[in-house]
Amino acid sequence: MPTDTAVTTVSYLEAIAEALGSEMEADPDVFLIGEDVGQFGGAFKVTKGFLDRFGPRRVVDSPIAESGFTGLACGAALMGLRPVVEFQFADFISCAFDQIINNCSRHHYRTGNPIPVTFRAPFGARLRAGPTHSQSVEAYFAHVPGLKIVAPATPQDAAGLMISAIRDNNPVLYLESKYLYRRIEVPGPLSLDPVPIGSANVVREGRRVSLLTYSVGVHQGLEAAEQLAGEGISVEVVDLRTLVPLDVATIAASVNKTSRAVVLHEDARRLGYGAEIAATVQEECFWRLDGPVVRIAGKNTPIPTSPLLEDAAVPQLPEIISTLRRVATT
Amino acid sequence: MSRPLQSAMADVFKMPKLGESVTTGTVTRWLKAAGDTVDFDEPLLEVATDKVDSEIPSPYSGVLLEIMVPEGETVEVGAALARIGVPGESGGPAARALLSPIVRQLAARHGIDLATVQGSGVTGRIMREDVEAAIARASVTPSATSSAPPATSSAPSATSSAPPATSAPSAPAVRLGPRDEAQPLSRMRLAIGERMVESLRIAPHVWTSVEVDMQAIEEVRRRHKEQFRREERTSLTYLAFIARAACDALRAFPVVNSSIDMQARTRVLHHYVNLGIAVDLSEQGLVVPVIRDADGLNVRGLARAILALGEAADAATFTPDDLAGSTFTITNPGPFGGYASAPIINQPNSAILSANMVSRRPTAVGDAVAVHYMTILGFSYDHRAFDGVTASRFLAFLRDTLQDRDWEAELG
Repeated sequence: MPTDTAVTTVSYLEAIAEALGSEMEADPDVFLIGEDVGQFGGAFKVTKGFLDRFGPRRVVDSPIAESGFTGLACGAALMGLRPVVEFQFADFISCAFDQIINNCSRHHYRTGNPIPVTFRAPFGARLRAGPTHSQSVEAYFAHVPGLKIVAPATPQDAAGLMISAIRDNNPVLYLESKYLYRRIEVPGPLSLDPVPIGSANVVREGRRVSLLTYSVGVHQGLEAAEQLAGEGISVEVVDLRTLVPLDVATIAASVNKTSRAVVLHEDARRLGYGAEIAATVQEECFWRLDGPVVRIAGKNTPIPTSPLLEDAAVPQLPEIISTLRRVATT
Repeated sequence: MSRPLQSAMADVFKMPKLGESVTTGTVTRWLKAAGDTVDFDEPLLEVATDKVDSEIPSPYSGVLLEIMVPEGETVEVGAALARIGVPGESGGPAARALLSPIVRQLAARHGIDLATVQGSGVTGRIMREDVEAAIARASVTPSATSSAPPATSSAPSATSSAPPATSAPSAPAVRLGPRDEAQPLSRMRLAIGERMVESLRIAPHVWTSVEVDMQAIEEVRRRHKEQFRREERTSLTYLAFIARAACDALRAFPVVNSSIDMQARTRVLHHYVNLGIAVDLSEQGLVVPVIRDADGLNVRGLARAILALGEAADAATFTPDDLAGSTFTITNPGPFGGYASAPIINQPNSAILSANMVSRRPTAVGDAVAVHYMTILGFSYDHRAFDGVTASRFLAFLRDTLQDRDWEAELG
């Protein structure tokens, strides 16, 4: 059903739900599967009401067996359905590694046949959820050929990329920020046009330094850019939106303009996705660079449960501002 | 956290206090020489005090830029012993040597002397914006750039009476709109501009052309090109044949291979052909390197010489001598598809030939129409040097040589 006209704002979580519901309305082959997606409405209530709306054949509560239901979904996709698999927390996706990597990601390569599965993984820290419910998983999967990865930062992109992920004929890992679920709202109604996979977005134009980031980092970056604008430092914020395939052209255009690049993500620094971005910038833009490409990232440690320690383990606004300032002016 | 940038300032290493009551130290031996790289904690020098002799480790990583106290001298505790920093900081602001890729590139492209640029970075480093500001300043004070020697110096030796540059007409100022971008001109662009305007100003150009049937050459090329490539690691191009025929035509028409000097009231006849070949430098500019005594080379020799010019262009290894002393010039837009072109004379030559695209076209052969490889050779000449009848006879000679010579014999 279209948006309720009484709704004046749409949260990041509501945008995901709206896009999911709209695709399920439009295409009877789309179905949901995962732990608690039905009766409980999803671990974070993204699919609240879906069981009543679409019935138990299309909203399937699974046992606590990620490898099993992921394999089931892959099989269903081979038979022509378009499953959307929810992992309660991205942390649990490692239980399904074998199905995703050894079966799903290379099926198209091996056979030439489509395997349209969407993996929804609520990821990231800042919710005091400790080391096994706060992880960022993009780096593992970005290394695997055959998987696309999207990580929207805004309600509009959350909806548009969900639609593109479901319609894609091959597996897409959809990384949704559980920190942003209820923190980011935009005026409704949403557009339900697909947002193309593989396309980054310059969300703030600037001249002096490019901040290349995604998900929560986009909002931190916009806030940092606003503060630095008061000091006369013009920051360009690039929301990558899709991690694989990476929109190298947009990144290179931005860095070639500013000559300086800072990469920001919450995942641990060592071999985080920022390493790939920094290496790409160096290859594409070396002769236009005015300084080293700098990474801001989480500490190389599990995410602590203690609020104080968790805040220290993931990038915070003061570090982002001081790093951008240093890169822009040193 | 990211690592802080390496400090751009040089650190001054001072005589440490080697004991409670020690107030002076004697440098007995430096373990590193100026210019050496030193790591943090690596032994740097030996110091003797009245109490003890010590090996002193370096408190900094970097390059030992300057030894300020020679061996054997005794100084107070706290006196400066050496400066350690990044390479190239022998003098001036310490950050001078920290030049980023973009700073180096912009400075080189626009001929900016970085010693004159003030760095605005927190550590004094020259940033991209500083160079851009310097470029903008240089472009509004043209004397700063135009006094530099032109990059394309196939400089005239016979006619040294170049009139002042101020005589070049200037176009009305371009008004910059919001969607326009003003780019500073490179030194090469400025030099080309001045030389082209100057050539058109002093020499009354006349353009003429001749159509040439290249079918015979095409057939010879086809028979020999593979073996030729194996032997010479370059292709057997039309240009080599055209250059060869042009050399013969220049020998037959010496006035075309001459230089005019109106002030001296002379024409200088060159009894050799120094053949200039216009070479594109990745669309950043054009240079005219010279094949000396080209009239002594056959097709193979010319192909080798042309290959060498191309390689020198790729490696940017031309010296001013390579670019000087041409007596006649060929420009070769043919590979890019030009149908016919009217080039500007490379002073102090009297004429220039342009080799255009060779392609299959219908042509009359006897009473029939055949499809042959055809081309148009363009020819601009200085009407002060000779007249249309000479130009036409020169081109007819060139055409007949290309069409009728036994090229097979030359290559076989």
